[in-house]
Amino acid sequence: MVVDDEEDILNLIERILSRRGHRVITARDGREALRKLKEERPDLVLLDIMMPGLSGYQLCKIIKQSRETSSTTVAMLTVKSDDEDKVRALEDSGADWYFTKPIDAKRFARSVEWLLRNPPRRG
Amino acid sequence: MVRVCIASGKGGVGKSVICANLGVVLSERGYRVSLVDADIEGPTLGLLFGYEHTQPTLHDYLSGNASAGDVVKSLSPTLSAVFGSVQLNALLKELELERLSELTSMLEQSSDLVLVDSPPGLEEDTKAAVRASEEVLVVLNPDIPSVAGALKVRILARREGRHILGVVANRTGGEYDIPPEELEAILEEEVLGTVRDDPLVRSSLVEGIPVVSAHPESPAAVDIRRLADRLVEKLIPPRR
Ligand SMILES: Nc1ncnc2c1ncn2[C@@H]1O[C@H](COP(=O)(O)OP(=O)(O)OP(=O)(O)O)[C@@H](O)[C@H]1O
Ligand SMILES: [Mg+2]
Repeated sequence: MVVDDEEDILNLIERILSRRGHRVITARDGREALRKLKEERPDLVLLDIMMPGLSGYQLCKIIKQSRETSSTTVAMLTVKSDDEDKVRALEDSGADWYFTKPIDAKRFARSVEWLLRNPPRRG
Repeated sequence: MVRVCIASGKGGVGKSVICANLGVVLSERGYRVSLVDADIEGPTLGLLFGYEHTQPTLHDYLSGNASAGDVVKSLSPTLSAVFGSVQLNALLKELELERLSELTSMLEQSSDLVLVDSPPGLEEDTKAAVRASEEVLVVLNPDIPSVAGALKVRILARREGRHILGVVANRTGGEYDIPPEELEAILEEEVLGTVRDDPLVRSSLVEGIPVVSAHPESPAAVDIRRLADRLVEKLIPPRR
């Protein structure tokens, strides 16, 4: 599942991943994401950070703290590229990985498949 | 010639093991290497070489009770080390941490490479170790807490105006390892080498002989020699 308030990003990710045989669900904000999360049970959630309503950090925390969704792999997908943002995502929000936009389609697809296969552990 | 701080943010990832073994490998190749155990509250570098108690120590130098000449121990014609004191550890406040830079500068004049082993965490003692070096070599394990630690080292190095030489992924080989290309992407740093998880590292600790000497054909020893090759390429111009 991809959560982003920018239509172009949703389309781009959908195009990259569906071409490789993945089913892609999209959501435009945190509320829609939480609803679809319960219905669709995605294997991976890709989260923008700066969105209207819930931020990606907040949404990630909610996903990781609720029992039904805590084992879902969550990665940030954001233009924010500071080390401080990455630490906040990985440590405070419990994200499993962090991608910085813009992405290279081929590399990104490889990374997503790594996350689906062998999500990293917390030590 | 150049001072490199080995740092990690997260503790227990293998900084001291990497430091000791790189020192051995590079000194055996003829480079003059000095090691400094700047892990003031938990020095273990001496133990890796089989020294339980050495006198005087870095603590004596930092408290003004010994000169640089007194605390440098020669381990081989090309390898010297300044070890810490295992007994006195609660006295961090009484030490002049700024003197660490003076010590590493002095060692640098007679060495091709000074390796500074740093404490876990990002407190004053770690800052002093980073300040006492030009370059920072980040050690991590291929997991999320280690990556977060490495990102914090990057933040600290940037604040202190120090350059990151690259990253070493230690204890690799597990199914859930973060792959090197992903580490490079998230950290925006080069992975200079990976060192496999190897039980002989632990046994060499008990023997008091660094694994590259005690078990030169072990996986970790092979990997550390390859890492040393890459470091030489990055750091050291052709030998004198
Ligand atoms: N490649 C390896 N394979 C197996 N064990 C290892 C490896 N590297 C380190 N270890 C083990 O991990 C432990 C921690 O190593 P080390 O003391 O070097 O870490 P450190 O980062 O210096 O820790 P600290 O932050 O406490 O100073 C030791 O018991 C060591 O034997
Ligand atoms: Mg150590």
